[in-house]
Amino acid sequence: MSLPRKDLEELFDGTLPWESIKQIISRPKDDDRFERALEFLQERVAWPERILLPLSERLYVVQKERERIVKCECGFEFGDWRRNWKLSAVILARDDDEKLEEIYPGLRQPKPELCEVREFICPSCGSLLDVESVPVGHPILFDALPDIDAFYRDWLGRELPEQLSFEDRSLDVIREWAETESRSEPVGAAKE
Amino acid sequence: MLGHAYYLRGFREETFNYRAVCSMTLAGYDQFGKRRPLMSSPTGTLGPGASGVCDGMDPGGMLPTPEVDLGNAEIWEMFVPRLDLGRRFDPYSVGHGRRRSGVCVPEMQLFHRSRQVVGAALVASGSCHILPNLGQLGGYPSGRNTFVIIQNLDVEGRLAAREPLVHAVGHPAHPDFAVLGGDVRIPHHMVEPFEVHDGDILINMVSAGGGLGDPIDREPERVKRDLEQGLTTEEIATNVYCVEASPLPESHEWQVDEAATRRRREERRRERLERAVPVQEWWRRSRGRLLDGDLDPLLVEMYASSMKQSQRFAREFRDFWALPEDAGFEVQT
Repeated sequence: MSLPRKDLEELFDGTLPWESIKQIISRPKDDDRFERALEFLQERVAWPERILLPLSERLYVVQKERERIVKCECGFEFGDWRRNWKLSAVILARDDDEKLEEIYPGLRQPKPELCEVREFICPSCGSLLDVESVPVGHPILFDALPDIDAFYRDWLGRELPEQLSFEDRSLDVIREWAETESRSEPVGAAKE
Repeated sequence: MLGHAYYLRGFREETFNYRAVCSMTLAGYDQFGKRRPLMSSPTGTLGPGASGVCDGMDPGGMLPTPEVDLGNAEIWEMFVPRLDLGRRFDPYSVGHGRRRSGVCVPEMQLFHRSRQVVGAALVASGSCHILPNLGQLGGYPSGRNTFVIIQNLDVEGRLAAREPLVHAVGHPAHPDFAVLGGDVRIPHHMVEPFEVHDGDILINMVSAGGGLGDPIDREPERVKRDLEQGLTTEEIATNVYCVEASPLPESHEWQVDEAATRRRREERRRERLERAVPVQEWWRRSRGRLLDGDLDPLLVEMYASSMKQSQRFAREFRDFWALPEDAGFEVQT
């Protein structure tokens, strides 16, 4: 059973009353949810590229000519969806007491020697797109690399015009960065 | 990850978030003289993570454990030798976001008619130095989970003098229990076994699941409602949600200054862009720290162990930081 568009929009906007949300959770899922959601999400963005997959609250994978890229609601383009979009963002790393204290006062504050809170921000609109809480030194997480062709083919029952190979290409970016670096000493032991 | 998979397909009502909790294992004799385990575990008082369409429940609990159905503290006082001192919402337990987590009620218990009780290891996310939970899609993780044990406190004297005990956590930078006196212990990691006596107070400042989405996208009306219900504070509303609100005189209601809120949120966006750096710059700096060996010994041990146990992780770690094939960590023994 399809959800009325008004209910679906209110569900996404967080304005649907809990009683209605509970009913939606309890009953079998509506098969056309993805397609119907895409209709109104596409109408809401100010740019012309076709949305292939909403990735988060503000990020979308879109078809731009022959490429599939990650694009922010504000229009900023993060590049190929197979490269972790976070590498093209700007970052506020909360890695000392002062910066952690702003969000986590007193006893709620983690120890900056062990735990880093990384905020990934859109370089254009300043929206907070993701927050990581990881051990210091941990590689940046690639939260979701969806196999878009398989999703369209196997779940939606239709194929996109052009099939693209599907693999994590984030290391292409790292290699470019590494070329600009000259240091290559092995990692040493921790300081006393 | 599974919650995000639902989100991607449009089933945002199914988006959920993991929430770890910290408890302490205790054992001893109860008020009936029976030897028994006394796990410190909050009963249905945890704030689940935000969903993709609404806030987490204020508060909820773990479905697999039966005590969620016995939410009243008084019921538990009949079974275990502890008295509950407070059941108040802790606004600082929350994972903030456009959709926030539920709000936790901290556990605050006074040992009463117990005998030969011994406390030991913290279990489940017992390291209180880190954030045990994750935020989603721009939402923040909740704060640190903190365990507090107050001993050698003259409870009977305070009661006789009609002085207050402690009934809420208060602000985490200057908590209410700080004025009580006694010996305050805040254990981390695995603690040595220690004796617990009648009159000791145990406080478990539980933390909730994560928020979802950018907190400054939260509708000011929702922040106003949270202020009115005691689920958030003016400090959090201003600093995290960038909502300018003030209490109405002689009322429980708050008034939002919408124009000032818009200005504050625009200012926050500019401020973020001024403070943040391109990820490449951060990567170069962080890589330099790694190459210099500037890492806490606990993390050196952790990475050495992970890289030894998983070749895949070792490869991903070296690839991300563009390190030589033989790069690794040496643990100082």
